[in-house]
Amino acid sequence: MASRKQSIVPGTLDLLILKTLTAGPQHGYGVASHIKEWSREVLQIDEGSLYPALQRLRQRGWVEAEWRKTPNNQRARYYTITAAGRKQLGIEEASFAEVFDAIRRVLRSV
Amino acid sequence: MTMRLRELLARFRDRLHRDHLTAELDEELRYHRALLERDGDTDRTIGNVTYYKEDTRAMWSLGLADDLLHDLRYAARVLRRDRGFTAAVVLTLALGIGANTAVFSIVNAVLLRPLPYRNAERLISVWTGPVGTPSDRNPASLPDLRDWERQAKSVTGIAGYGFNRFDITSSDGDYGARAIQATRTLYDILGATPLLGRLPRADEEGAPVVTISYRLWKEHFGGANDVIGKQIIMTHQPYTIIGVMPAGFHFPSPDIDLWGTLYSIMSMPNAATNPWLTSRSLHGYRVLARLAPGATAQQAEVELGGIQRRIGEEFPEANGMLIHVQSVKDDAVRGVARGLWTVFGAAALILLLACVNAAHLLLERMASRGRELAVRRALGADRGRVARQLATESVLLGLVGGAAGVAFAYIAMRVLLGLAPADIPRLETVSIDLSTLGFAFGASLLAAVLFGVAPALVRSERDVPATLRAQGKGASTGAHGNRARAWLMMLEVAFAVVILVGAGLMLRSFAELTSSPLGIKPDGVVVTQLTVVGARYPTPESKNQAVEQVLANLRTIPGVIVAGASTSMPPSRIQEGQGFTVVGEPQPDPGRIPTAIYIPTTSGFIEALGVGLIRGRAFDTRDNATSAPVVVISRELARRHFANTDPLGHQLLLSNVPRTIIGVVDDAVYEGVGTPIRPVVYVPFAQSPFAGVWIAMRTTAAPARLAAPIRDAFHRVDPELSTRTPVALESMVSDSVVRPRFHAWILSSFGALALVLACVGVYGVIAYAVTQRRAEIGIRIALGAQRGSVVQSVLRRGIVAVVIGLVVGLAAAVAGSRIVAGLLYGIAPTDGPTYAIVTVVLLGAALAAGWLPARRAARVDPLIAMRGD
Repeated sequence: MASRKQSIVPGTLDLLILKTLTAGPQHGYGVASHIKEWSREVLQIDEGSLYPALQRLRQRGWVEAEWRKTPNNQRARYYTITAAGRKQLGIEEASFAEVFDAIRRVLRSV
Repeated sequence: MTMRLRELLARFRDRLHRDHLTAELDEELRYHRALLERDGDTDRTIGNVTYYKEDTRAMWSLGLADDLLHDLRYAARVLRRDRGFTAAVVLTLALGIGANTAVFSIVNAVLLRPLPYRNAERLISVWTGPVGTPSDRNPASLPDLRDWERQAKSVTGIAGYGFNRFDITSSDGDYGARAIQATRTLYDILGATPLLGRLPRADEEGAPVVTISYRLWKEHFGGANDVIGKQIIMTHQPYTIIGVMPAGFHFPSPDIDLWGTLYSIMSMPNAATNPWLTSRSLHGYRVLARLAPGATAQQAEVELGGIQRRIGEEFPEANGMLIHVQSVKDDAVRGVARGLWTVFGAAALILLLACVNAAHLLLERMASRGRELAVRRALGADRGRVARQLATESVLLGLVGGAAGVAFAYIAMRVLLGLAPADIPRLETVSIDLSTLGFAFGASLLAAVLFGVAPALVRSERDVPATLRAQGKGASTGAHGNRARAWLMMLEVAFAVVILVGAGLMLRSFAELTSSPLGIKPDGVVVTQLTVVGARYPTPESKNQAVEQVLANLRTIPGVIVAGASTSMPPSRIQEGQGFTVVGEPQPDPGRIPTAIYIPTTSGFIEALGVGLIRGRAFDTRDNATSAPVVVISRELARRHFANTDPLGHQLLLSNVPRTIIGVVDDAVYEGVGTPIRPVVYVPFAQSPFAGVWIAMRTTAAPARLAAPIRDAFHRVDPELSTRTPVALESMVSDSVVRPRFHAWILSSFGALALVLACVGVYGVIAYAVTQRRAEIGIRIALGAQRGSVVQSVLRRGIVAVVIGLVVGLAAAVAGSRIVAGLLYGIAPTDGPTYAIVTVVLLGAALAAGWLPARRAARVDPLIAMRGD
């Protein structure tokens, strides 16, 4: 379900969404734009991956969703990271770093 | 773990608000796309919106459970649409599951539920058997039992009990009740829990105390709690009621209403010499024991056998006896178990047959649904999803059939209980309870699997495009489907044959049994009982005199042709057996002494029963208390001991009294219709009086019209004599074969059911073949084929499968018939006529069932058939 485009490393979508939300509440499009921008357009997340992921995070209690007015006075659903979500982010960051280091060591080994 | 639970709860909550969430998601996506367009991000494809909406929606569903709900709704709709089909399957299954559930409720109550005693599996019953006939299972004598009790280490308790019948005097009329009279520790060993009060204690062996049955308590004491401590007059002696046993408590059989002590024997004036208390040759006590911790039944048998051998060395009359140990549970259901399991097996076969029939119906319908399923596949439903849908339909059918089956079982159970022999233990505890419902549920699921599998197998072989191309002209399931049909029909026939053979064997056996010689002429014989006990009849002479006076009065009743009394009554009531020796023959070894049924008999008894006189004479007024000791022997005794000589004038030694043989009479049935004939000795009642007698009267009047004159005849002798309702000997004979009649009846109804189900199967196959081959048949007829030969060709194919099924079924029946061998009387389990009749009946029924639809083939109009639909 991560993506049919394989545009991001599988399993890291949750990590990216949670990290993005630490900067403050954001709607789905905002999350996708943030990731696209900061990855210098390397990581592109389509709606087909994003919204199921957000629903999953919500069901797990890592984010909360709330309808708010945007600055342009439109209705949008904003997602906020919860305390449990921050804890999960810590776990995922640590394990990502570990895996990333491991991959790098292997790539340098020969 | 907590996380997963939270997620599950969230999913569940979301599922409930799914419509709302979907609306929200739509709005969110609209907003997302609006921003995409605003930012000119148009190089990206929007993607399949429906597809990822589905992905998200899946997050809000409960997965399998949701699918299942959907499948169920769909299945219910499909089944409602196809009313005829659904009704046929449900009815078939209801019959199969219902028959099984009803039989299971009985099997469960009688055979499976544990006995209501503490650690019942540690209880054993102990029997003695003479070395000469080691298969005999006899009770024990009291002195032997006392020795076992003192010496045996492999049991923690061992006790005996005898049977007695009491006349109970009460203000609302007298009645009789059967009792057991127990030695010291019987009730401690049993470990049963009374409903009220208690059972007799070990120190009360000689005390007038008694615990009564639930039935007696309800019927005669109004179910009152203050019954404990009340007096009950049992055969003119007062006893104290100390307890009430719960409903369904039977020890050792359902006809016992009183659990007492040895008081009635120990309070007799001659207690010091009473053989019931002192004799080692009077084997009057059945023995119950509880195994010591760690001990096995085999150890107990060996130890008790050793003790008995030492007793035999000291007391010659106790010599030559073997000890046999049996589990109490086996004892309790002995003779019942095999019959019930057979009935249960037949019911299981009916269920299998019903499943095959349902599979058959499902297969038929699959043909008409081929297109629907193929379309679903083509539209993207994967194979698993379609299979699951079909499985759901099968399970739903199974469960609906099961529910209808339980309703049917409820009725069937009533009918079965009405027909079942009353001597089956624990029968009144039969009910549709939780375990029965559980069984019905399990049977329904099993049935669903069985009948659901076949069509699924056939279906999965098919490819979708081919089916769609076939444009569904009766959408053939191809050669494969036809082969499956033939297989199913063969199975149906085979199952039906097995059940029919079982039914046939039971019916033939029952016919043999009821036509077996009784040695008596029961028609026109009225039977009643008389007991002369208490202070008025202290001596044997007074008892004899009272019996003779009552008989004299009875003989004056208009319509009574001849009347007599004895201690035994055909077809199944015997008082006692005795060892005997022929005077002049060498004394046999202990344990090899021949025994005979010993019947003190008044004049008129043999004549009243219609037992044929072969030689000499029966008893008359010449045979009284002071005349020479004489004996009348049965034909079987004469055959065994006087094969080459005339027995008249020879002497038999019975209880140390030499008796001269004055007559030989025909063999009468005393131990049950159909049991092997044992030798019988009749002695003059006056020379060996007994307190309780059976009276037989040959009359021209109905038993009911004799009740009042009989009471009068009794009361003119003694107003305190209790009377019993007179019964026709014919009804006693017919009651005594109620168990085989039950088996015959139930298996024949199963047989009829099986035959109908098998015929439905044959009908279905032929009817389907005719529909399928209409075009071909039309062409044939158009080309001038005779209509008769068309019918034949249609039938021929079906009949081949029927014949194969018949052969398979007959072979299976021969192999399985050994199981019922023990239930059969007078015929072998491979009884030729039964198999022949079953073959003829089945072939005839199958031909008839096939002919009906085959005839339609002949009426096919070639024009219409070839135009097609």
